[in-house]
Amino acid sequence: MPLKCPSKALLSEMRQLPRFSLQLLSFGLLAAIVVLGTDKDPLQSGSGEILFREISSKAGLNGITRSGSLQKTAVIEINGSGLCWLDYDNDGFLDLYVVNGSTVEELRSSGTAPHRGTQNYLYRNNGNRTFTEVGENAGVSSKAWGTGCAAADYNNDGFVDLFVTNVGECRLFKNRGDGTFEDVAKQAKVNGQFSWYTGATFGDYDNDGYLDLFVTGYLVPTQIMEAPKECNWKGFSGSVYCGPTGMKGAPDVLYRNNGNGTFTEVTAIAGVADKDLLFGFTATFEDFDNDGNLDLFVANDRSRNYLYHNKGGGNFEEVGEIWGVAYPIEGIAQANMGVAVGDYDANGFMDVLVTTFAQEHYTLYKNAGRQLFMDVSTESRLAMPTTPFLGWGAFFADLDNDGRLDLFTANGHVYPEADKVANLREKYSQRPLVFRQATAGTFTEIGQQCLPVLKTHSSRGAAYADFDNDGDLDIAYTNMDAAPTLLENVSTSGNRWLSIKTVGRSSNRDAIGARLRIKAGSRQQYATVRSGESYLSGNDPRVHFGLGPADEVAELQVRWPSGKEEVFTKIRANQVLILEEGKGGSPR
Amino acid sequence: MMFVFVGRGAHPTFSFSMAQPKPTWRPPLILAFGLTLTVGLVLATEAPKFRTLQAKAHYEKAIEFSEKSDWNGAVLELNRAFGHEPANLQILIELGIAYGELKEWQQAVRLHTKAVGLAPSSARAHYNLGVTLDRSKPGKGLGSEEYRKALQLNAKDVNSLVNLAVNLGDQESAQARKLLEEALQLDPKNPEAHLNLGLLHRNAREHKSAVASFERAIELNPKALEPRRQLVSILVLDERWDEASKQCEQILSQAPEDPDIRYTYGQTLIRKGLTVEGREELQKSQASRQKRQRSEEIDKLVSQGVSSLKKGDIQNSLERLNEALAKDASHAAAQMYSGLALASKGDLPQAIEALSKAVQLEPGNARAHHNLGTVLLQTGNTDAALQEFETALQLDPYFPETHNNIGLVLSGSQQVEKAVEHFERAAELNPQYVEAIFNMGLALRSSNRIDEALRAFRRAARLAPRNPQVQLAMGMTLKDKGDLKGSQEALARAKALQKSQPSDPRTPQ
Repeated sequence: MPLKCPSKALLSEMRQLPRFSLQLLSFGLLAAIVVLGTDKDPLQSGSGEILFREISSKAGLNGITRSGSLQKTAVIEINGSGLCWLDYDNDGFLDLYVVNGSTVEELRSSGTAPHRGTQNYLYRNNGNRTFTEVGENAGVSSKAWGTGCAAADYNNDGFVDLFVTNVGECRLFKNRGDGTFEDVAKQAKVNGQFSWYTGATFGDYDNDGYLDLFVTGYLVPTQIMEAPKECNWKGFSGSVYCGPTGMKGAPDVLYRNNGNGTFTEVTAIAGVADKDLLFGFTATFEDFDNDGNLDLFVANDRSRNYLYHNKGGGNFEEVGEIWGVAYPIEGIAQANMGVAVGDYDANGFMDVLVTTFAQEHYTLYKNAGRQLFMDVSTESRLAMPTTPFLGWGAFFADLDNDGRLDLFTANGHVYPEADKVANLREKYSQRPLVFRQATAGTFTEIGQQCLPVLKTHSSRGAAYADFDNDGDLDIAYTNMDAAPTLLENVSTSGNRWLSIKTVGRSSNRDAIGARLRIKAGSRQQYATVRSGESYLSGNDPRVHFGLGPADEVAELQVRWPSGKEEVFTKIRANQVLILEEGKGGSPR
Repeated sequence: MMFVFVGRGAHPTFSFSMAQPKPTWRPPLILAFGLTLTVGLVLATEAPKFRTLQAKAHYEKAIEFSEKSDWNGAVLELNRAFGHEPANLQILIELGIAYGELKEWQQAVRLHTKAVGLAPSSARAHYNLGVTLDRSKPGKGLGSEEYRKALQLNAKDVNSLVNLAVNLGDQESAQARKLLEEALQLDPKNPEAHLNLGLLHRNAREHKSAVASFERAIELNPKALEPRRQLVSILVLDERWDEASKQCEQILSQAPEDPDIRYTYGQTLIRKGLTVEGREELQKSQASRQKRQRSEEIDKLVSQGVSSLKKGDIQNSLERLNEALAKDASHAAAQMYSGLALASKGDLPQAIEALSKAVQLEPGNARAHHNLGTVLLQTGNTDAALQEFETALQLDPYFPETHNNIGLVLSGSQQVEKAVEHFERAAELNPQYVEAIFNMGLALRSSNRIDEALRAFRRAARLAPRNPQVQLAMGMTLKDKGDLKGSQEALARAKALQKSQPSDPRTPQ
């Protein structure tokens, strides 16, 4: 292979090449000599305080998530699906919705009709660290080629609903409040046209008290089932599937909630039309410049990221490049898949991490305020360890409750052929990465210390939740052609914590968009209530703060989406607090 | 007799090629190629030998052309040299190089392979074949075997060492490193070897060594951008913002429209605390990128327009081209092809307007001048047409269609000798050019040079055996010569061929 990175003049040509051409980019970017799988990992300096145990099967998460054939002959078969934590029955325990794919044959023959042999899974939390699968009974089995989900109470009736993206038309499962759902996507006018939808995020961008919905599009459907493996990759003697580069992207869509159970499509008017038809993956609403309006970040595959700045009045302006979050510092587009949002450096501004392809580092965009982001992948010590991995689901979460956000990523290759290429360090199945932020602003990978001896998979969507309400954050992630993995957090740090469930009154019921600031001990921390993140997935809707040794939160400030601000003081640690807008808080 | 254009009816030939600048030395994908394929270096290593003076003369002229990067001229002269000495290794290699510069890879590989066949013990022949194989299909390592052969013949061939190392790349980094170190022992001032060794160091996280290698490469060739780009990426990794921004400035001074480096530059300025300046650079980066994207969109529309035009879908072609012109009315190629499409539609005044705009926008575009001349000729404006054709030839003397069209104009004004010269030149530049050969026959016949005319028609008939007009012309010329039998046979063939083909109102009865 050519040793050197080709001149920039030729990179535009390279970008036209299928994914295999990324091997050339490795010469222009970091290439860590980190060996995957069971090989020695030289990056360790674990803390021993973060510890997980795998309880997937014991907990009853046994449904296989399919994604086409095992051989992965077409681009549609490789992206996998996400999962969402939600308390659909309001019993205080988070349930888990796992999105499932299908097969090319079913897609061709069934189209939008129910697919045979597949379903999405709704695992109801039994409250004893076990789950019961109730998807069919609950009416959310969907039976389509599912990709992602977003859970939120879109109609403010107190019951969380579920939006599911598909290859096909999307579903909006309205929660009836009796343990069942009905698909109202068509009536609500959010089913979309037949396309390949991926990410979804709810957010009240116009601050009218109702959650609006943004859905990303990946590829137009006509080409997605073209199967021939014609592309060369890394000296593999056969061929691999081609795409998405060179294919036609599908547009993203913004739906404004009318407040009456229906939505209006406002993509172009709002200024979020995907005019370059990039390959959209995860999207998330977040107020990045702290002006009280929700902005919108979209991770695009093999292209620049979008950041739509909400200028108010229902209008957005795309500013990704100017704010410094479109590209890493090298100025070259990455394969952006998953998105983690969080204020890792506690400066009051939400930062963004994107997961990317193998031989590209995952990029941490530090939000410096003043509408400016900086690529701090190197400074934060994330660049090198992540380069050999191919990342999907990602989130910031305080896994040891020490008051600093840690980072988790689910990883896995797209080519099963990776296992057949000689001298290639990348493998199809890849272990998750766990980064502990022990010192401010730098991360240390401790996955091999804190994770049990796991069967590795090619993993995709990931989400955290305190599913057992024991005060620490657990993790679930989907695996290609396998059951999901559930990791129970059994860390023994003894650190304190506070979990907050927000309930809006003037704001949307979930208070999505609410910004929380706490002061505990010597530290301040910031968090936002969000929907849609990671990779086509949804985290615990409650806001979780690790407090370190502090027994109480000296001050909690909430800026509700309605604009109302409230301050609470002296909140006892180690509880789940329900905060109602204008009515104060009460423990769960 | 009215001139009839074989195969195309009574229309002068248009050029469908996109207006292209003369091939210039682009930064090659693998830098080592740049050194070895320069003609100067080739001549320095081996003195060419010739059996004939003609071959030598043409060869030397070809070298003059290639030194000016006039590869079309080089190909022309080398083909003439080849005609005299088809087994001359030097000619084969140089001709292969020249075709490679014109990106006619099939020809280039064929010639280099032939050279290797003639001289299997020539390291240079193996090397040049290797380079051509790699350039024809970058990234596949096709040239490796030839570099190895070259090294077996000459273990001190630095360029083979470097190129083989490049092909081995990251997959066999230890071996690649060894080859590069060997190359540098032989030639410590080889910038490509330093650059590639730097990349190996970088991939092995040996930043200090990588920086040293890149800096040396820059020192040896300060104008090369790639070592600077690689150096920037390391400096950024090491958070050496001052040095990174200086290198970005150097790159941008030569490549101001590079949006990636400008983005990096903006980010490094922000790191240095120069937020306002940094943000400005990010904005400029965005503007560059948008400009490039827009340009690509327009080029795509033009390309679609040309494709439709070639297929005869004039409506679609005009739609695409008008769409392109709506985005950028100053796009010379769009104007030119729009002119062609309008001419095809029969709208000659509009066609002239569009083509005139094209030549105003790009006065150095030979094809635009040629096409304008062609349409002017169709409107009967012969003097203006000739002027355009002559301008086209000044800009590009190797344009067979222009020679053909000048020949037509001159034939029309009874300047038959000069016309024949132009037709001959057209046929020489493109030996498959039936129209020019046919027209030459007509011109020769009109000046009573019957035998020469017949030779031309026979040549045309060999190239286009099913063309009735050629047979018709041949029949009439044979009659001029007094060969009635031959004439009747040719006329009968013409009649039979005409019956078997759709009638063309432009064909004389």
